[in-house]
Amino acid sequence: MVTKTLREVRDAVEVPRIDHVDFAARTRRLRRRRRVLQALGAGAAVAAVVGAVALPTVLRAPDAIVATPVPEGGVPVVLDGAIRWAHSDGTVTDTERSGAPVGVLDGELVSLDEGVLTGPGLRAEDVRAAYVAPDGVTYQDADGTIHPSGDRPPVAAEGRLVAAGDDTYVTQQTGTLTLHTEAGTYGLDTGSDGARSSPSAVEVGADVVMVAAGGVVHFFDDEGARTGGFLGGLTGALSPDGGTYAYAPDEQERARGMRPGLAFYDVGTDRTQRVRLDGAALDLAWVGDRLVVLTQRGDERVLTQCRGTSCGELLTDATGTLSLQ
Amino acid sequence: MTFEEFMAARWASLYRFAYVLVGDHFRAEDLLQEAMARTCVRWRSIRDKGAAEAYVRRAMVRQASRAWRRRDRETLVGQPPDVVQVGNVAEAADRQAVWDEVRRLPPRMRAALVLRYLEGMSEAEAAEALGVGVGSIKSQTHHALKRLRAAMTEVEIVL
Repeated sequence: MVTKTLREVRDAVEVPRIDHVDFAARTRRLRRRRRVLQALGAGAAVAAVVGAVALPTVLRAPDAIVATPVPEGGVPVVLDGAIRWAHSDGTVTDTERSGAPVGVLDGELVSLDEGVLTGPGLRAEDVRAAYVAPDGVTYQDADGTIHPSGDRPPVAAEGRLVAAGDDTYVTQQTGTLTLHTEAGTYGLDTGSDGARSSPSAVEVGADVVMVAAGGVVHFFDDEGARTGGFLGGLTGALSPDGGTYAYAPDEQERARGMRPGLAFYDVGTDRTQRVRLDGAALDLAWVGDRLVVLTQRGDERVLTQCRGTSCGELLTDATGTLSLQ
Repeated sequence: MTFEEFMAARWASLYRFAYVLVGDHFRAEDLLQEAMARTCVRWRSIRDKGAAEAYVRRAMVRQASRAWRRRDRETLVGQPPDVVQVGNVAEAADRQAVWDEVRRLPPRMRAALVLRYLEGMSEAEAAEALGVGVGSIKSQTHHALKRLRAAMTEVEIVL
């Protein structure tokens, strides 16, 4: 009965012609949105690391909100203790900001420096964690209050903010992760047999949540349902659109014999593509649809940039202090 | 394959899928246009073009699921029934009743039913198409049929 009914309905459906005007308007809107995403700087992946560190309350604050526009193709990095732009031609310039880059919003740098969050039209003190998404910044005060992006009111939270996206964020309380969306809250269970593993990384990309815990990378949908995962690959970054998780072995994983190289895992199709990458991975971050990977080679640190699976080295830091956080 | 070729070739099939998913022409077209636009802007980055149709289906299911949650429950629109009246009157009435109940199901359950019992996919194929685990498909299908049975006490559910 079900099959027959569905077939009858399907076959009886009158298919309209494609509305090309409406379609063109939608693609223009989405492309505009993607351009914002592509200016996201080190974006969500960098922010995830920033958020994992509990920062002290304000010690030194900038005098005013300072706009720091993102140069074309620039990636915010930390070098010699200051936030700088790494350019696609291999050069580095100053941002005149210190602390840690959180990401880029509306073409301007968002940074967190000793509890002071600074960004376009934004200055907040006593901030302990912050994340940038295309629609705004989600941050948590030292007293635990979470300020979601957009026009949503502050929320008193018991847990610690560990990741955030456009209209979602994740909190952690005593090893338990909770996904908060407009539709409700959902527990993120990383234990296969009911046991919980302490998460080492959490990231949100669109309607996908990545959790690294207990040596396993897990993926969840926006209702908290686990959709997939694999062993290893803990040093990685989820793309802002939630479509790709890029990862590479760090020194410990290399020592344990993990397959070398940079892997691009397609979250939707469960397929992986690999490209050559020398050195041990330290950190990865997405810059829109570009990926930047920081590796350690002897005493030097090397920043590599990839478009798709085409990768090239951006710069080499002989001081060994370069970081993405 | 260009995106335009893909869209022209798969529009009708995907529209029918969208309609069965949401049970309404306006929303079906809106859902498909949005999913197609999203696919269009990502077209160059979709390495396996053969997976594009699955990507569009999954995007529609997720979008429909979000819209459904925002509305809490869907309300049936007051348009005439779409089930073609063939066979005897009683059988047609039963099918209409089944379709009305199908339209009340949450999109993920409806999607699982559509893929399994309309598209004829295996559980593994349906799971891949929707980007979920096989267990999720089993569960969604089970609960969908359970709801249909509960709501359709007078109609025998025969797959």
